[in-house]
Amino acid sequence: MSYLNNPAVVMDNGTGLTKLGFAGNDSPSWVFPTAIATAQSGKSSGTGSKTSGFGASATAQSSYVSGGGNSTSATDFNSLASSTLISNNLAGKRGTEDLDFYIGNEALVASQGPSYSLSYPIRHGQVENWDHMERFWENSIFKYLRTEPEDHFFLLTEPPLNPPENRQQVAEIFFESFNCAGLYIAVQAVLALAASWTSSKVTDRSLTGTVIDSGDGVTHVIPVAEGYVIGSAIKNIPIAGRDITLFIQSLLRERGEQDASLRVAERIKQEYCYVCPDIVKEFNKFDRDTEKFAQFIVENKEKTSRKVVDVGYERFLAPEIFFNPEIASSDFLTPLPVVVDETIQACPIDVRKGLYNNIVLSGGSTMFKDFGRRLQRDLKGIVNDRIAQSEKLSGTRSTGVDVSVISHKRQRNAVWFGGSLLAQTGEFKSYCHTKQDYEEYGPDIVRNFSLFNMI
Amino acid sequence: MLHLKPHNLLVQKTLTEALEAYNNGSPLTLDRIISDYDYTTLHITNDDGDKSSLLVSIRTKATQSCNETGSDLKGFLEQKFEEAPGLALSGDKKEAGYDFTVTVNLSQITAESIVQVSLFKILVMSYPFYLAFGQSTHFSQLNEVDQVEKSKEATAMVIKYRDDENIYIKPSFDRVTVIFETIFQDETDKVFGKVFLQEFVDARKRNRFIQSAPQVLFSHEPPLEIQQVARQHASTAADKKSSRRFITFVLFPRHYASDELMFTSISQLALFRNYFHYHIKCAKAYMHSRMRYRVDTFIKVLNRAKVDDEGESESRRTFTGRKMVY
Repeated sequence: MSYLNNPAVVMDNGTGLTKLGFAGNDSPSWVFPTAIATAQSGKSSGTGSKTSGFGASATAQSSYVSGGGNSTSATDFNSLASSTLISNNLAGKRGTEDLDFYIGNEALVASQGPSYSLSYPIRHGQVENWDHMERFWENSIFKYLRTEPEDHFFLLTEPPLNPPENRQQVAEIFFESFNCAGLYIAVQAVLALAASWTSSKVTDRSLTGTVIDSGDGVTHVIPVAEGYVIGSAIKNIPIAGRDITLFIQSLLRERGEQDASLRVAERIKQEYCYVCPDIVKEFNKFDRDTEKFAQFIVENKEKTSRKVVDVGYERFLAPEIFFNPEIASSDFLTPLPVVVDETIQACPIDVRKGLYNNIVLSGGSTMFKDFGRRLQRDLKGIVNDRIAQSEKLSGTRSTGVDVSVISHKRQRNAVWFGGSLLAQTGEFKSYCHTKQDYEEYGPDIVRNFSLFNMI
Repeated sequence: MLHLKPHNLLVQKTLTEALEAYNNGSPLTLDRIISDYDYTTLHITNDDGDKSSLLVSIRTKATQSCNETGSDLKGFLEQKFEEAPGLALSGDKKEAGYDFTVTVNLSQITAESIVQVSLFKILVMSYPFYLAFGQSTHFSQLNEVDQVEKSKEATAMVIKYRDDENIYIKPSFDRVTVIFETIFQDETDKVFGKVFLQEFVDARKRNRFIQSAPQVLFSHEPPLEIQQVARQHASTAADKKSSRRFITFVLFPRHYASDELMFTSISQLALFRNYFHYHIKCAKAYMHSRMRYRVDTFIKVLNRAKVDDEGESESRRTFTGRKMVY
């Protein structure tokens, strides 16, 4: 039973990015796109017929020296191509097309060639293509994490409102294909709440709160009461990271900047944008003080050409689309604070105070400076107005509602970090379903997981 | 994709990032746990107060048995790490709970030294292999009578790299025999494993391109070379005896003629079990995708047989069966 000493594996497969790592670490070991490049059927992929039997060739040794693997920067492709294309000579004889695929950044690179097609097995947070997902997992476990699944416990994440059938599928794959020692499937929002415990503002470690999860594609507002997601009250906002980037790009284009590519817009978003307390005042501030304007310099790799892109009002206008969506979109017009308020109002009255009290941010698009402060201020305004009105109508005094938005350092990978926190505790393994349990009861067993009651 | 690489990608990535950050003047603060196959845990931390050096510690199940096979595992590793710039095996101040600690000096290391650190686990496991190769070469230089005698006397070395699976290495004057003991916990794996291993044995016979590869044998009983040693260890896992299988690789001098070949052979052998299990899992995944495909086609057939009863109530028919058209 020496697998008890092995760290648990925490995997957060999102629509865009997959976060992989070991419990106890403060950041995921691998972050790469949830993409898989598979060999196109009917076409022989470019695998050479090099023999690489035992000791017969030394190509493997010489080529891995330079390979950076699936680094997030995705450079150094030439060495990868040469080292990974060494194929078993059985490959020519019978079909091993099922083994001919790449995941993550390598997949993005491979798909630029003619013989691979790229696909994203997860759509809207849920697994769409189980064949691809199974192979994605297989490669991420063996190649990137280098673990024997029989020796490790696994913590996986799922989106809120994931149908139990999907959980069952996951369990079938993990127990039957991989024989993993134990499995726990946690809801992403709950893990995000757990991640907020690292903030100094959090005093009691409760699993009640509202999670605002904003990634690249969509923003969710998810109320969680005592570790259970209130599914009927979840609200989605079709404004997220990508929309902000596109908005910046459109501003750059309108102004006729030298370089208005998506990549530049994204860098500007990450490096310069912040949330302001009041747009009008901020505009005035910019007009008075030219130092507020910034310049972003684009250089190509060889540092021969140099383009200067001015960064102006978009610094505060871009994140503003969360609070005043009408400046960027014409079909969705409800500001984020209003949506959060509506969400909480749709929840049972007994938990509302807890939900207002603990609003947790998660995901890359909540990383703007002062995002939490602005949200808290706006939301407080809405809540106080309502309290004032009800006091006027009923004539009684309200005890007041405390609104607090918690931002912390781990926001970007909050879900993964929460998973890492929970999976490193001693009790984690007792909450998992083990391989023995699975064989005894069948895949139905994963329909229920007991909640962590952490202290 | 078919092959697992001998070096740990994650260690390599982490160290490369640390090096980059150090060169940019903003050294990272690291405290990372990294895992590798066969109960191996690596730990990368900052040296106290000294931003220019990192400590990489390893704990692996094989250490103890590897140490027993020879006298100087530590010296061997020390020498291996000395070859690469910026690395040093810290003799005395190894991290508590870990077997070995290497100090990585970020101001000196190169890409090669990063690879060397990421091979840490393979290096630990390679010690008995190098010993065996050394002994074999030594035997081969003796006269003919001694050669046979000495080879007979040589005992098999054991690497206990997992709970109840071991690697046995037996040097002889003209070959080195490496025997893997495998046990499957899962019934399905047992079947897949058997097919896979037999395929492994047969592939060599069928394909003339791989004639230079080592001979592979597959048996249910411990091979003669290790019967004595295996018996001692077998007693501990007697109940699992029925599911034990043995895979034998026979390495001839051409497989360990040069340093480079030695290293390639060792790293392939050390990863054999992982490779094997990985491919069993891949095979299962493939079966599953075939099954899903099948189920989908069956469902399509079933759907075709569905009776359309919705139109009945709306469209009325005449007595002769014609449709009424309004």
